[in-house]
Amino acid sequence: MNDKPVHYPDTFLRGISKGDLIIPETGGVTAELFLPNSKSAVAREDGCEDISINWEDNEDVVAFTLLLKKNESMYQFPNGLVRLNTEEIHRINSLPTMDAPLSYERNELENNPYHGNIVYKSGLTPRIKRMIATSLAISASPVVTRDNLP
Amino acid sequence: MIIKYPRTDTSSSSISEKIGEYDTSISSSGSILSDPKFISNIGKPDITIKARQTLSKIEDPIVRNTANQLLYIINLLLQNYFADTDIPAIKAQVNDDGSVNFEWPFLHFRVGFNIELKIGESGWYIVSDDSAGSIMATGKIFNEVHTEKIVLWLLEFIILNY
Repeated sequence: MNDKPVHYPDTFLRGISKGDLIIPETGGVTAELFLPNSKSAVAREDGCEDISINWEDNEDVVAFTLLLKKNESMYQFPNGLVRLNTEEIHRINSLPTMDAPLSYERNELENNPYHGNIVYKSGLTPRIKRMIATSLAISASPVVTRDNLP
Repeated sequence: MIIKYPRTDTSSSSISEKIGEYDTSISSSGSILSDPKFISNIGKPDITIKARQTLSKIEDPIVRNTANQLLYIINLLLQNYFADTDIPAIKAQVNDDGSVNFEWPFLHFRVGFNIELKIGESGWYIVSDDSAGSIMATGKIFNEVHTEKIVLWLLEFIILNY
């Protein structure tokens, strides 16, 4: 049994697959980018829902994420990514009107050692999930694209 | 000003009947733009036009009618209380699950409404970043609290802060 504490960096990245997740007027991203897919709840034993992220363990993770391929000819995140502070999760969880609705985890994949999840507690109403997703969206950094890579 | 709207009884027939009081029915083409009730009486642009154009994409008639009604309330309140103020158009998003979301996505805060298939789960929200006070609030609409008062409060926040 491995009891080594899991390290989480101060920031994480969320890739943008669809262009309509970016708001043209502000350059920000829509809440849909952070709304969990209800199908994930079926896949999880705890009944929670999650969204995939990459933990920004080092300065190479941005380029790694932007260059991830969906298949031979397509990038997984052709519209870039946004960065969020891990502290934002703690802030949402600490609000007196919230009952710690979020958690996070590492979930390494074969081709992605940085992969993890932001986990939405089971039983949240659509209204609460949207408010949380909106809060995450509004706290996200400007969109970073492959054009920004050195 | 009193605006009638569906209260706690969210059965299909009840909502349809009460929405009928506004005469906000949608034509077979999905367009309600020709409805004279939606034409501004002061010549200002109607900021809900683009959002209303998405209503035809909503499959569920109750969700569609409720969304239509919410836009009607927004427009009516703007015309009656904020006639001298310009605010950007409200955006609409029809979601994969059949629900619809209306939102003003400003840079530092967002105000929106979600209309769910279960109408009783529909609500409003206001979220802001740190520079705008780190607000995070939500509540239900189309229940015992007068929807127009909630909308009026949110419109006031937008106009004072955008």
